[in-house]
Amino acid sequence: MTQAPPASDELEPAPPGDDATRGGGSGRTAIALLDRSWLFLFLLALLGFFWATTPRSTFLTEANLSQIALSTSQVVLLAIGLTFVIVTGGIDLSIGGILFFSAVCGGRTMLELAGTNAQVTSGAYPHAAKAIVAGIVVALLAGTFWGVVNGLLITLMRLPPFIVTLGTYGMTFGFGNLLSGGSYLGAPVPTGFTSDFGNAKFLGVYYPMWLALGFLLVAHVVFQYARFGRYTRAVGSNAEGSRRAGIAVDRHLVKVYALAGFLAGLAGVLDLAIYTNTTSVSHLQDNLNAISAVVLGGTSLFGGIGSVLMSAVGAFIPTVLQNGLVIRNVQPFWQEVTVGATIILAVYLDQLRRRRSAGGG
Amino acid sequence: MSRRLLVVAMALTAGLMLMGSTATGGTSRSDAAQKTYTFYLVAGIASDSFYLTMKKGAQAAGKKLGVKVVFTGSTKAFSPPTQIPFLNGAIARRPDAILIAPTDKTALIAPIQRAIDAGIPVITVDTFITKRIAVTNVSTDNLGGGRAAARALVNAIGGSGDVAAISVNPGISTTDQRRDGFVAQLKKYPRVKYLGIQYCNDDQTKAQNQTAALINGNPNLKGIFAMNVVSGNGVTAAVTAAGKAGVVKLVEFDAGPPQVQALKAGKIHALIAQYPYGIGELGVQLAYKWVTGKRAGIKKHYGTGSAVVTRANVNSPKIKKFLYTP
Repeated sequence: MTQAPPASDELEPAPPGDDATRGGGSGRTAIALLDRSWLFLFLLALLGFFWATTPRSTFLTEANLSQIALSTSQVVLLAIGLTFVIVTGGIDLSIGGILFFSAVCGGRTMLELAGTNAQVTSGAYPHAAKAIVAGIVVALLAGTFWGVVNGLLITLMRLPPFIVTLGTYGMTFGFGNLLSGGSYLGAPVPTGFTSDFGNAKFLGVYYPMWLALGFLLVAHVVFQYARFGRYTRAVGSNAEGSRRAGIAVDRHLVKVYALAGFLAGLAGVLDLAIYTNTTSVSHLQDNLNAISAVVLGGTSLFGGIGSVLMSAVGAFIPTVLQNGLVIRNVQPFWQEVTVGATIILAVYLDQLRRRRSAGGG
Repeated sequence: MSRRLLVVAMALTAGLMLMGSTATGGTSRSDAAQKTYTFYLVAGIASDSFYLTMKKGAQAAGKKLGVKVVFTGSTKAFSPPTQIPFLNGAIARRPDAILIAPTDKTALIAPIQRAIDAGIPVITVDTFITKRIAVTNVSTDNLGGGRAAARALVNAIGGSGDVAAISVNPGISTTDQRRDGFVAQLKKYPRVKYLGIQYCNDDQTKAQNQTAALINGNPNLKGIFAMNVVSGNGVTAAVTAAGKAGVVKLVEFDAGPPQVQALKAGKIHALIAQYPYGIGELGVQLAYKWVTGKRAGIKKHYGTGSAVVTRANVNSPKIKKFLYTP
């Protein structure tokens, strides 16, 4: 008898609030869809507001929008991984550190293999192609490694994810600084990596954003429809129940943190591609940026419920605001106030919507 | 199982601590017979090629004089709360002198006073405090650097058009002076319109987004002044991504390796390079004079020059000493 709830949990891990999207006729589905993608409407409203209040052909241009997307691409990748982590009821504060560490490892590999020290510092990279591929692989491995370390420490030592990833936050920055000599890399990464990838466009969109979009779609499908996603939600809504239902919870958690680490490594690759280099100070607040994107996207910090797509939309809110406010010539200090207030407003509206839909059944 | 884990964890932690202490090479007791001096150099932020180059200069001067120079500082942020623990740590080691780049004009007065009260002479390098308690101050003329940046930028855009600026955060003596010098000098050019300053919080992604907005929002934008390395990284990336490299002229403060290469590639018009190596060198020499009793003639301030580095002069030997070599 006591087994019954966990068993049903495994079949239908999504909590009741989510059911609205599945049940009912087409009218209800449409409303539910609208309800669910309200943050997207909020983003559209924001775009509309800036379009209406800035001079013509400044804000709403292909050039500007694609550049906003370029500055958001890294946070999108981080937010994807973090959505999985947060849905399990965990947190990962170390992603910015993992990003930096991976970028340093990848960047150093690229510089080592691209040519001699003298060649590289003078801007010649005779073996660029080989070096870039090796650097990407190293960065991804480095990111995944730290993700696995997080997962193992959390599951083997039974420590709260907050503490573990706070610890690895410091360690990754520390090791990264040790490897880079405390500053940035001795030279930019091979120029082709930036000119042909980091700063290059395909169909009006920069490659880094295409990459982020590709991973976003795959992650969305995995999260919604694959076993990996189902397990993730199940673990987050009821870990004990999942365990009894036969899910290897610990192993699954390690995989989830490894995924977040891998995506942070990928964001580190983008750091090298876009900025030709990496700096630790730029990534100290990446964890907060990614967490706010996930929370804006409606993912519960208590686990169980979430949406990868909406996290990505959430990642765009601060960058669109930032960009629009600069174009509107808003004084820098008011920009900070406005961004902060908008985040609170967006989450409040989300809460109102939830309460209403919970009340209306 | 869990007990074994505990033992492993403890061993690991102990190992790490040991590794850390050998890596910093804890100061060994000097022989009573031969006095070797130990100076501490507390950086504004230890993970910056500017301070790492300063360390090189300080240690080179120290080697000549028989002084051991210990480099320390926060790798996380340029701020008093992150810097003061490193200063306190230095005071606790009772060095013969402390060289410090104070991260705030006033917040560091009391902590520096504690060092002086403990009998340790203090020299401020790069930045300064508003109370004159340090032996001396060795720094770049940042106000002059800001003015030089304005001249270089106006020159690059042909004397007219819109320009903007991007800095770290307000309240830092060096970047504030660069800003003030820049703005004051710009007023002398009536055909140049100043669009104001953005603060990127030392985040290159934020600097990139702000620059994109500046470019797309202001069709007449002709030039940008980036006031430190990280803002410069973001600005350069944004201008390159927008396909405006060399069209929107960039002047950036500092001269780390990535900036020098962007200069050579024509993405940056000019770099305002300070002379951190010289600051470190002179700082140690002055501290040595002070502790060995040759105190007469030490001035209250020493300015080390800055250079305007362009593509034309970057390879000349006179300019080369200004490029940072972390």
